[in-house]
Amino acid sequence: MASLGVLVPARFLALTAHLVAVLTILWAREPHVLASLPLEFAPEEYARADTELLVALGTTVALLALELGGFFAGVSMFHPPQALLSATAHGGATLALGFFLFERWGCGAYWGVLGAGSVLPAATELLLLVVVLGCKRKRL
Amino acid sequence: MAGVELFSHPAFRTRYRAGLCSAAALALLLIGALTYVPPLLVAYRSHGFWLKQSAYLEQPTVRFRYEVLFVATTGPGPGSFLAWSTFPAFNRLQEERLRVPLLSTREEDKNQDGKMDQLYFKLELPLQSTEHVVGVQLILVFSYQLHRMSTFVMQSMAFLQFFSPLPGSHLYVNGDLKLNQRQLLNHCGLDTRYNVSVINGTSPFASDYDLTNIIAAYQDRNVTTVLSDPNPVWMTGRAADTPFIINATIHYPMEVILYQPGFWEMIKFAWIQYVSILLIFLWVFGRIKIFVFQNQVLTTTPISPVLPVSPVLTYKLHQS
Repeated sequence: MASLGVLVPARFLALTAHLVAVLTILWAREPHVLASLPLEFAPEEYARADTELLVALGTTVALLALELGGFFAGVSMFHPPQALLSATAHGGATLALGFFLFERWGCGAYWGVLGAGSVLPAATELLLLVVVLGCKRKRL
Repeated sequence: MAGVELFSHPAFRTRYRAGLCSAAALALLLIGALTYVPPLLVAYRSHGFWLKQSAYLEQPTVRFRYEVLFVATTGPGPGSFLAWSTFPAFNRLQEERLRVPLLSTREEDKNQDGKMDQLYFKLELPLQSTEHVVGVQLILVFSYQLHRMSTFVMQSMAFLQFFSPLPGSHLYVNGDLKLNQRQLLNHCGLDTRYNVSVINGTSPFASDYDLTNIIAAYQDRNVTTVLSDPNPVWMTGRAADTPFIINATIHYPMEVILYQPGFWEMIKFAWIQYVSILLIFLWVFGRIKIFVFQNQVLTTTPISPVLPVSPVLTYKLHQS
């Protein structure tokens, strides 16, 4: 299918860009943790906020790993609707994380980006994995 | 034909049909939402979407109201001062401390634009040879008006205070009458909140002429004027029987006035920002839509129009 020539690299680029953005935030968490805390805070509060962001970022990396796994294994590489959804969601999430980085948003904003940009395409990817591997069907 | 027409493009002459609950219809809805909502989020989250304040430049229309309150300190004692004002009630309260000075003022419109640019104020206080001035407190009252956005009218003052350990003969002051805003002005209408006297000249009570009370009441206002950078020059060595002289030049400079923009100004700036970002999204998602439907990423039924057959073609077909 001619569309795959565009969709596959687009999806790969969007996934990689999202991964790079997440790793960048992972290495420079402090401003975001501070942004989600009041002016004066206890070390425990800092640790809790840091853990919250770490969990959110870890979840994103895990979901990205799931998608990349499905993508490289060939389960969803030649599935245009999934490629379209995944490329759009991860492209949008990358843009949102650009804002997150430059505007120093707090941890709370990350969950929204996670929900729309990672959970949605990962859920459909999981569905595809179940259908293809579990039910032994070639296509959904 | 089942379904509804979801997409067509004039350049490709093909219409794409699918059911209302199909993946293609859902994708179209999603693309529509992604086209119109994110520009709003981008414009809003990058700050400055709603214009909350704005500024303009205007030279105020200032006129000296010929209202003066003057106190010259002549020594360290509690009653050692000389005073005079343009308010008869205040003067009556001073009794033997009242000393009437010779006053000359002139306002000048240097650039002939109909607005005064500076005030020359000269006060000569006659003194006895035994009297020495060590400090001066002076209040000048102005009428201050702004016209460009809202019409703002107020009575304001310039307060000048100078003390020296050495008795003086001459005080030279040169400064600006600057506007001090604690609050944004309106963008339209008439604002006369502070068009009230700085000094209640008709009051017979001494407390109304107390400098502390006058300044306290004045500083309660959200918009005031202040004599900025007065650069006082205190000259000593007064010859006997010569008056103490205050020479003041007060400029009325151009002001940057902060105001609250009106509804249409706010909407205009929000619209400019939204549409300029929306154009990029419209272009990108337009291309995505064409790509999706042309390449049948999501299943639809393409319908190519039956082109009108040209007579030449018909003839050739007939011949063969």
